[in-house]
Amino acid sequence: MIARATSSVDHSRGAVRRRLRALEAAYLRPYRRQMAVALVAMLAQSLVLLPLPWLQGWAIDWLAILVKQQPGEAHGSLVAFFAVAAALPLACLLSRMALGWFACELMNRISLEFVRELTDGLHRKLQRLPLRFFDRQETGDLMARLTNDVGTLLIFLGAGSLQLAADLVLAAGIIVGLLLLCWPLALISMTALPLFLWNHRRNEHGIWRLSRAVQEQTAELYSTLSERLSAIRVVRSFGAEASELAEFNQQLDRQTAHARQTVRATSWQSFGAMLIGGWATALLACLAAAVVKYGALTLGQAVTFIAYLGLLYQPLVRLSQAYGGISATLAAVDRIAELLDEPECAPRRAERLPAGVRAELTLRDVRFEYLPGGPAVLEGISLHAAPGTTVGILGPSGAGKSTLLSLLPRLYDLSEKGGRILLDGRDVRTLDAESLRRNVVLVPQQSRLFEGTIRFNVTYAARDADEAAVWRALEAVEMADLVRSLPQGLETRVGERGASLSGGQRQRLALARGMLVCPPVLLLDDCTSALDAQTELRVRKQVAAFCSSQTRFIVSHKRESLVDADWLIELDRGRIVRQGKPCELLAGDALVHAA
Amino acid sequence: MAGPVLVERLLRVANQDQGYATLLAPSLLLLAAAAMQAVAAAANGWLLGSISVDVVRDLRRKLYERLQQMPVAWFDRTPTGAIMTRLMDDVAVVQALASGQALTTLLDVLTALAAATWIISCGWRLACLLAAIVGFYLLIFRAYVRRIHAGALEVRRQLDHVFAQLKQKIDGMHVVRANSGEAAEVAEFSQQLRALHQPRLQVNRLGVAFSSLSTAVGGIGAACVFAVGANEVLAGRLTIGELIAASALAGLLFAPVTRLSELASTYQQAAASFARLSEILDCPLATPPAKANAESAASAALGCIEFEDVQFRYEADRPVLEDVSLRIEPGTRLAVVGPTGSGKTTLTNLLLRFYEPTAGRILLDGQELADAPLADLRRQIGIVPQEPVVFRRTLAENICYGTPGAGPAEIEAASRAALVHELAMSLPDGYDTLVGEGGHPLSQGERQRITLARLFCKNPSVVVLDEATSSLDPACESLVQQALDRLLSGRTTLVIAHRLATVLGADRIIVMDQGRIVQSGSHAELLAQQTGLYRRLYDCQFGSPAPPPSEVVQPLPSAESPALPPAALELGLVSG
Repeated sequence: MIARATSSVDHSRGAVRRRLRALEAAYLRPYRRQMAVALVAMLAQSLVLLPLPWLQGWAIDWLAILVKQQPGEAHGSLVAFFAVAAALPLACLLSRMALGWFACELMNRISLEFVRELTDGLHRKLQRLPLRFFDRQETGDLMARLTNDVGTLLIFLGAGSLQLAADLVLAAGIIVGLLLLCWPLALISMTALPLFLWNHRRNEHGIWRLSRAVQEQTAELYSTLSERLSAIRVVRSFGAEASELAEFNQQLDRQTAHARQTVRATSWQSFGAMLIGGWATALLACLAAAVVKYGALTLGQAVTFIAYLGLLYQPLVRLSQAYGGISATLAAVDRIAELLDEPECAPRRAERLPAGVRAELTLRDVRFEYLPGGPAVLEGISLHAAPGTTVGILGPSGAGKSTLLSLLPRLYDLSEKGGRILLDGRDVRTLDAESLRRNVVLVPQQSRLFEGTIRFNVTYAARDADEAAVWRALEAVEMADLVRSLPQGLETRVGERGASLSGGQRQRLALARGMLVCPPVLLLDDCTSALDAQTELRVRKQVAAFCSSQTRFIVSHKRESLVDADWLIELDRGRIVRQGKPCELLAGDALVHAA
Repeated sequence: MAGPVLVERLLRVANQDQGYATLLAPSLLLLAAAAMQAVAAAANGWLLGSISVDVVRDLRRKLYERLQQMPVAWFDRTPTGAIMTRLMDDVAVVQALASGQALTTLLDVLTALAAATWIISCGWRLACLLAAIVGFYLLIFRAYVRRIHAGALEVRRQLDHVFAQLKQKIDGMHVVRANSGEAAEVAEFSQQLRALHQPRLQVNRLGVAFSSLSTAVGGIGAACVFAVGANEVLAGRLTIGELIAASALAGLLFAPVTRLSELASTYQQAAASFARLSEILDCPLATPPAKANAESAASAALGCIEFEDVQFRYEADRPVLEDVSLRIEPGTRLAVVGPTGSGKTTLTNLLLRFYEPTAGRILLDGQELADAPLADLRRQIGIVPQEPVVFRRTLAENICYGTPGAGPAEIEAASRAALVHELAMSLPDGYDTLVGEGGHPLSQGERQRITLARLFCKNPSVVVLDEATSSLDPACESLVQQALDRLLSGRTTLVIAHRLATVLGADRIIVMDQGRIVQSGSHAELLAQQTGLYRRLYDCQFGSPAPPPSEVVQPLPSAESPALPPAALELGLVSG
């Protein structure tokens, strides 16, 4: 499990760097050239800023000369002066704006596209992950990874990061400028650099740890919300609002405490960086003043030198200020990469089923456990269902009935030693999952509908079904009259999880959804439990008539639902304890129990 | 602010023909100023960061508190994912505004004002220049902010769809897989992401354009100040030192302009998010608070329930309940049967005040429900819903959900009664095993038993069972039924049944059809009405196919006998 077993996953910075590279390779590589262009533009944008202090310094020196001249003496040089003092800086600034605009625009587009691709990729990944994975996962945590973590990445990837990168490159260039201006002072200014590094190292680890904690606790908030808001009726009916609030507040406080610590740590780091930068600048300004006094520098040169110093230290200060964000981004990358690293269902030698499946199902010594090495949920199940027959499955709750049905369409895969399930003599593990599931359709116990129209829900598995077929399926489950009476008919929205429908109506729509595919094998997992007896009996007959020559597996607790089956099996604790024809098995029942 | 002025003074001193010692005072001042600046900025960051973190916590807390009071109908309408995005992402957008930027910019503006005053004091020419630049900036500002706001709203709206989709499809991954919906899901999600991409790109584009133009205005402003200032120097109205300071101050004056434009973008986006949060914060509450004089009933209710001409409709033209009047005497058991969609579950929804009746009233012990505090009402009534919900908590915590005071002994007793104890003993950590989302896998029947155990633990005076045992196998069901019988004796009970098996112990049965009560009476009375709906329902379940003769000729079992399948049990009761 990816969220909780933090101990088993490597969160060291080395591992994160490796994941970062993998993510970059998968999603950012196509944008490399564009990103390079954006970086160059950004750099150029910063470069055009460079002449400004120099121009200003020069202009001041020039101005000092001009002031000493008599007014009107040198009109020509005045024009030249203003050209340099005003026009050149203006030109620099305007081209800077254009370049910056271009680079930001480009980088924004890239980062948004990257985020879209990444979210899409994560979603694809989810669709490829085995169901087993979802049994161990909380919806909220997965949502947090796809939205919150990706969002953190987006914030970082925007123009800010590009500007920072460009400024850092620029800082290297500025060193050259400083050396040219006054090399002894420049060398002294460089002594601040190791100090910046020391300050960063001192705080780096703590901030990284905190960022990871904040990101994880945010995901926990998502999980709580996801679970509790879905079950709001239960919360209300137990009057548990107060305890829910208390629990949520506790989680919030935990997250807030870590967030506050992060703020404190980043503030310390940024304080260190600012102090180093500020004092270095101040000291060098004093030295520069002394050098001016000594006569080795002009006033203008000193102004230039101090301005350049700012450009050298600023990006370093900003880098350390941004480290909180960088760290959060790394934590997010880590969580995203964890999801991407999850092993998918192995495709094996996937073979598509041909048309005209006879629907003969054979189970040979099937054994299954949800967790590798865990307790066996099914053991030694052997069963044969001839084409067109109906197999009824009985048994106490927790006996493995639903598990057995979910193995047939490979919602869960058998392990190598877990026996075999054959459809028309072929091991289902060798079959393409999608083509298998078009032929073996399971109507699950929990009749879950999706937000959308009735039509959307009924045609979910058969999107191209025609109107007539939809109505026939609705007739079969006796929903047609109701749907007709609705003002919007098939286009009526059912609300999340079908909230606007009763339990029985939901079950009937879910049944219609499975029937509409008219698959060679239909698996009904106690999916009419909420229907009243009258409706259930009719529906059962109509389901049988809807698709003739269908192999069916029916799980039910109501024995009367299974009297029509060709064969009955009774499961208990994962084993078949009895099997036989319904008349034998059900007739003996009372006697066995009464004895 | 002090920095440029001090540097100016330092350099002016350096330019004068005096000893090096004169440099000492301004140097020390400069060092002190740098240290103070670092302290102030870090303290500022710390303070504002902490405040923003707290603001987020308070906002989320307030929202969640509010959600607990929102009407259930609101939750029916609003996808859970969309609620989540409001609490998490919209709040985070608001945080971006609160995270220091706002106050920093406010300080920036103060700095800018001070700088402006200094520059204006340098002569009217510079003052006019400043006024022109600021005016130009305001024009750009007006042009952009409104469009950013509209774009941000659209982005948030699209995010709702993305969240809602993720939430329900991850929750329902079994259904997606069982129906081979993966490819369609991928396509639909991509489509939603594309729909989100455009407005997002647009908002960012506007933001970039706005801040680029603002930066340019600032830069040009600074350059112009220098040029005009130089002219002033030439005219003898300013000294060179003043010019250096003026242009440095102009930098200070215009730097915030860029930040201000970024803040304006953030502000507009936060405003869009905040408008969405207000939808929750300002939504009318589920129920008006109880009347002031309503005393909080600490003792257990007697459990006399009355429905008086109750009518209910979710939509104006579709009545779900019509003129329902019924009275359940304290301590008796009423069973409600009827075809699916006849309004059975709605009865319980009204009783628990998930919804308010559109007409008529409901009374508990003679007091109108609307008059009593909601918490008291729900403490009196225990419900086992159709779809069992198990939370991601330990098994024990799930069982004492809603009864936080319950001790281990009570939990175990409740578990034994609902046949959960054996299950608990088979789990790796017993009662402390984590169940629910991501926890130990449970079958539907096991979930149902856990929700029953929850009811036993709560021990309410009124019990509502909404087909609470449908996922249990017959042997288990009759065992649980026995325990229920013990629990229910002397308690008012409302049983909703889709199967006649569950209704036979009832004192009275009502039959509902299309939102009305069409029949009422005891099992025998109802069965005697040959043309009644009840008779039809009954015949359908037990008339055909006929039960095996062996069961009919069984000696009459006692009502508690767990051994017989329900069909036999009922026949025995009928013939007796």
